[in-house]
Amino acid sequence: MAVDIESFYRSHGPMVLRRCRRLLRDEAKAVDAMHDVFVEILRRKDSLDASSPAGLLLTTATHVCLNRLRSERRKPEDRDDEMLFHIAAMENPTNAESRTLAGRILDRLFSGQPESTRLIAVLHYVDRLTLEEVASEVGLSVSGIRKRLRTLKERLPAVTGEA
Amino acid sequence: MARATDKVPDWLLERLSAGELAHAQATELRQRLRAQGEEYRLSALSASDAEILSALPPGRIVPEIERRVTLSADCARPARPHRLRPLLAMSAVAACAAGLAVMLVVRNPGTGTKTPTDEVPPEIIGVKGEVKPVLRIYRKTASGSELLRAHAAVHRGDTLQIRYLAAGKRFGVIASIDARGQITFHLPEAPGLAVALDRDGERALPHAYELDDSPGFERFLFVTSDAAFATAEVVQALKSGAALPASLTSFELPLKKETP
Repeated sequence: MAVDIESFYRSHGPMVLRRCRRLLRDEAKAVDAMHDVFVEILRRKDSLDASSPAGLLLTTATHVCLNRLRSERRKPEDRDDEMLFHIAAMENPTNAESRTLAGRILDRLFSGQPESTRLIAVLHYVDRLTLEEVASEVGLSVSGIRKRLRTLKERLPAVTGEA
Repeated sequence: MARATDKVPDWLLERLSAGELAHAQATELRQRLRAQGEEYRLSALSASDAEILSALPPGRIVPEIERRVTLSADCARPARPHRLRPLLAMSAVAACAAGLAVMLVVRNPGTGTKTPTDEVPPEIIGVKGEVKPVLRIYRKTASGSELLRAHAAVHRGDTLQIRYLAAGKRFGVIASIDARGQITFHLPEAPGLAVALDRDGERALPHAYELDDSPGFERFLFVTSDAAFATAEVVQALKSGAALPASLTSFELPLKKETP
């Protein structure tokens, strides 16, 4: 995937910043995270699929923000925020997020394997996508999404309210 | 299955706006927006785009992204199996960032307390999208580098990498003066004429510098112009504090030298 970073930023930077703002709720941190999203894209540009750059960037931004939230010490502002903190703190049952920062962000995405459970959880519980919409976004079946979320519900009953 | 009354999530709204959704899904989402009287959310994205690009223009963001890419590549590179001379080893990251680096020992004081300036955006940026020439100085740290703010404390032995953003200006001079009045030319490295600048993006000078033990301060000046000019004009401004000619634009970055 050829990346002209300036035009890429012009066309998608604002979208990435909005995503980071939504998840981090802090302007300075969101701007900082936005930089890192593009860094990840540039570092992996040779292995990227350019067919849906917005989806790629939104996914990358979500992972970058989750990793930052993992080390945050602030108090959650509301239920969505609390959910994000719980998801961010999770170890991914499918093991994708247990390596280095770069590795845990995008290895799974770029290798064409199923998306991580953390992203699925954010899309469903925080962004309020339906199971069908999540399935469409991450390329899994609805039953596959249900299965992933079932694991999550066992870990987060108080937050999901669905033990 | 989403109902017609379900609010369209921002995630899908962004994907819809980017034109990345399948026709059927895009149609369904547009119908939901219409039914809820929320079609304005799509146009609001365009307005938000313009607002963000005005506040955070590519000229400000892209150089920082490129710098981080360079640093991450340096971090990923395995260590050499044998030691370099100490000064060269210290400059390795800055050297790679510059593409070709030679270590120079300049002057200045102190020891190693660090200023907490990690990844702070530059303080002097044009308003409403206007980008001005900027000088940025990074200090080598154990894990990478840190951007130094004006009046940041520096110490003898600190390794500094100077980078500039020409913002379209054609010619430039970078020089510094210490408390003893000694002037050091960084770009060009000797008195003469201003050099032609790389006008796109943030550029690193080919050398990193290690500060010596001269006390007080080190004041860096980046002078630019669309026309050629002599370094003598910069020397005059550094030594006497005289105003520069109107045709010249300057950016000043003073650093405070601390002794142990």
